[in-house]
Amino acid sequence: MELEYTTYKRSEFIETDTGNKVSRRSLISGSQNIVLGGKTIVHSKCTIRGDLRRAGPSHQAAVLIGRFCSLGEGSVLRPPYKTYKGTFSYYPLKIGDHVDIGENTIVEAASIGSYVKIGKNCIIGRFAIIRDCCLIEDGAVIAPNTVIPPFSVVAGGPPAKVVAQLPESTQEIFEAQSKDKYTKFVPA
Amino acid sequence: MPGTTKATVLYYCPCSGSTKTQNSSDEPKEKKKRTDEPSREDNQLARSIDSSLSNTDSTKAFEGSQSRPKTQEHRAMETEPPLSPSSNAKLDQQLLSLHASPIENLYYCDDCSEIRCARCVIEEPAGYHCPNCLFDVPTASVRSENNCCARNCFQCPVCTHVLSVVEGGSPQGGKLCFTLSCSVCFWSSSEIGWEFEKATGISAQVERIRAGESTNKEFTNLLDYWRTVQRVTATASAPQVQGGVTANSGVAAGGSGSFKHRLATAGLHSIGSGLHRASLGTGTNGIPEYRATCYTDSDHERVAELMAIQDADMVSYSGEPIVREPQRIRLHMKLARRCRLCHHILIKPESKAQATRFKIQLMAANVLPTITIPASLTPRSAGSSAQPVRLPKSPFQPGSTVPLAIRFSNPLYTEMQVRVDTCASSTDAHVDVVAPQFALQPFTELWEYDEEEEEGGTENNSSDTNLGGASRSTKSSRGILDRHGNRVAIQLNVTSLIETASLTIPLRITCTHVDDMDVDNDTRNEDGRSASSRHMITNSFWVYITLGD
Ligand SMILES: [Zn+2]
Ligand SMILES: [Zn+2]
Ligand SMILES: [Zn+2]
Ligand SMILES: [Zn+2]
Repeated sequence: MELEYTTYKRSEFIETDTGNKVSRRSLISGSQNIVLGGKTIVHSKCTIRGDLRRAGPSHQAAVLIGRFCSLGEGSVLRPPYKTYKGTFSYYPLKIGDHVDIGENTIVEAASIGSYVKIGKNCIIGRFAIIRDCCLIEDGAVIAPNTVIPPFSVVAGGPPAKVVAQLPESTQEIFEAQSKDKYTKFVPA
Repeated sequence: MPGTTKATVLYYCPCSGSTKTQNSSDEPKEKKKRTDEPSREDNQLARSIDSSLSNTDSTKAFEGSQSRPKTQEHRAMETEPPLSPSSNAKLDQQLLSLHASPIENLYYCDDCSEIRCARCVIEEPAGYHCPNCLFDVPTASVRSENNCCARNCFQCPVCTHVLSVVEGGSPQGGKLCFTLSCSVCFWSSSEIGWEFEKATGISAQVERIRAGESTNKEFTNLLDYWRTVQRVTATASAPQVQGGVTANSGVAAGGSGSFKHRLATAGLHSIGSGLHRASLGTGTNGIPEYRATCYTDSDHERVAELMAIQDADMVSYSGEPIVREPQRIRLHMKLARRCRLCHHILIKPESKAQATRFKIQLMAANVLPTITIPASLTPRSAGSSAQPVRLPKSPFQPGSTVPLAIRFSNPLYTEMQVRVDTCASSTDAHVDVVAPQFALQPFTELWEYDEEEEEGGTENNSSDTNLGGASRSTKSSRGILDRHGNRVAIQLNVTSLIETASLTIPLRITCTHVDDMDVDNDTRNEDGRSASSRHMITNSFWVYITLGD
């Protein structure tokens, strides 16, 4: 089945010059520390905590998101933190291109590669690293500091485990899907 | 609205569908290969790396040259679907899913001009790495590292999560001390006395701890001893070795008869005496008997006691806690794949762990048209709303005819001619393809651009010759519902012959295109179509469209 069109109220979404579509009903803190790559959709009730960043005069962004991403309704993106050598600090959360994050999923990862699909109601633990071309199934709980190698299907938990491998065509499939999803997200 | 009815499109792989896996009967053959063919050894090794983590479709069909003659059976496939419902019974969905897959999972051998599935490809190792630290392990050192990561990667003995190195434990004299700790269940290696001086090279430090344990010393001594025995017997009495005990398997067989025999004759304890005495009694002259260094008499008594157990009820449980040690993380392997029939390489990954690119990637979806069931026919433009497509509702009533739209998209940079044939003898449904032959425009990045930037608002020149406009789709008498870019949606009229909740429609797709290589070679004429002299490639295959639950 091909994907159906999703319509939204024109008044709800702000469209940026680079084609990002951000719901006015999302919760974005510290927007000056957030980078959206373009053609990324931030759905309603999505929370992005750009305010949580390393103290001091650093110019580093707290949340970096690539192109053609979709942040599902009610999802939470929060930079990871740890105490290193006695100092509490936040670290950047980086997300690549063509990343689809499902509804009500909480992300505290250090990095998520490109061509990644994360299901609904997942928890991606602090400093987790998800490499390119991965599928995280609905409800998976990825423990902190986990590294998910490329082409993995991850499910269950805690801690979630690699349960299968994705085909070699994953990059093309996920890229096509994320572009399709963006194209079919249209004002009513 | 669509959504209530499901639709899937599966592509049939013409292989014999061998699901033969590596089983015990293959063992002797494999062992022989091991001695004379070191490259096979890599396969062996690789297979043992991690069965639980290796992919689900790794059926590991290794019998390389199982040729499939192109018999009548094969020719018959061109008119009759290879899987068809027998009499009135519906096509077994499980059988279908065994032989057919979504196009994304299929390969394409351009030597055989055929679809290849996970079962009809040969897998070969193409690089090893640790799945946690993603360190690339040279093939040469995979074996010496026991297929495990030689760095800091260990698995929690309780919950299997990867352990992290943390400061802590019981530092002595103000020096830093590190332990392995689980961030999920809070297990710590200090529980078993593993504390490290450095935060790096934990594996080596663990090996040092383990090497100091008396049992490990004993094992190393035993291994050395049996290697000596093996060498001596191999040179002195190789011709006399009989039965299944070859020189090569001597060490492996150590766990069974000969091992027990040796221990028994060495007077260590009294088990297994008499076993295999005849077969190995003579060949080992000249080697001193093995003397255990770490076992005391009480150990031997205990072993003898345990070996003498006849009745489980007699066993007393001492309640000794089992000490569980973290295991090193097992290595992952990247796979290259070859066509099983002609050994043509289909998949060749970059060997680096981090890379997700492929040097060679012959996927079916890059050569054959992808068939989808549209949710709406035309791309939505700013003004008009997209027409949703209604899928035929299940259950299907006999005699009723329903329209079904299917869409083809061309992955190639050349135009593709497509012919759609149905199977005449189906007992499930009669299918009428309104437009059985059509052309698919080449794929260009521009089409994508159109859709993204203009959301398909303006129809391009390709369509004005064929259609009076996409919006009049249902009225198109030629059965072509929509043309857009490299995609064409056509109409099928499906008449169910039985009452059923799900209907499977086999379609024979034949597609022809000019060989890309030729296009590259001759400096593309402006008309671009002196096709007669060019090399044409024809692919034909069966797809199964299933409607309903
Ligand atoms: Zn082949
Ligand atoms: Zn096959
Ligand atoms: Zn490692
Ligand atoms: Zn644990």
